[in-house]
Amino acid sequence: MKFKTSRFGEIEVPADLQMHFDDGVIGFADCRKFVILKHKPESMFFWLQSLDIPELAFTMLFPFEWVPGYAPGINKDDLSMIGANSSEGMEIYAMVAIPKDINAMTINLLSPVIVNPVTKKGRQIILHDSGYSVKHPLIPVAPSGQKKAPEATKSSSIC
Amino acid sequence: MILQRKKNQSIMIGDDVEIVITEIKGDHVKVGIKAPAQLSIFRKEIFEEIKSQNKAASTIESNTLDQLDSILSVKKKNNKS
Repeated sequence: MKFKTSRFGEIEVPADLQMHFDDGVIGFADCRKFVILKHKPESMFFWLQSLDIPELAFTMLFPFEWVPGYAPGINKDDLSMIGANSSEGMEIYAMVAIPKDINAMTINLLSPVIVNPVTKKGRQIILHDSGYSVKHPLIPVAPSGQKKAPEATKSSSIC
Repeated sequence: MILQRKKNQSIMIGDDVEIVITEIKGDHVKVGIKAPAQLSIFRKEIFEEIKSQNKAASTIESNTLDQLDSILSVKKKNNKS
């Protein structure tokens, strides 16, 4: 089936790559159908492209590669909603946010997107009381000794 | 709608959502919620925060990702060595 997207033009998405989010994505409850696209073959980023709204695509990545020890305890209700009994085999993604200073990018560890590759169902869950942050910095320390970073005009006086 | 409730009294919303006032201490109220599993329940401020992060995740340009890919791949290599 063909779908229009604003970023990638018209794309062909076979039925087995169409993911169904029965409750949409938090804040976007009406968007239920998505495809997950890798940004580029070597990229760490993925797009969660809406198949309902051509302009809507969320950026995500695999959190485990970047946050060692990340252990989202996914509850049974959330798993059953995507047709799974255990979190084994589920794909887990974190939403990415990138401010003007791209080194300050963060990922959302509190509410990952889980996808069941077997049932093609997905869901954005909330890990209540897990202590995980909505804005987990991915690059804690700016790499030093490089030509790097023209000073931002507003310096950060608060932390 | 505004309702007055005492401790241990509850409110029904429809047939299957029950909200119970379980504890009142000064200006803190503990609320218990019984609802079907498919209903998502969250504190509003967390909901708003996630929503705004999702919005941020939906406004990223491809070339920004290219830049970050090159920054992060260097970082990854440095970490390994």
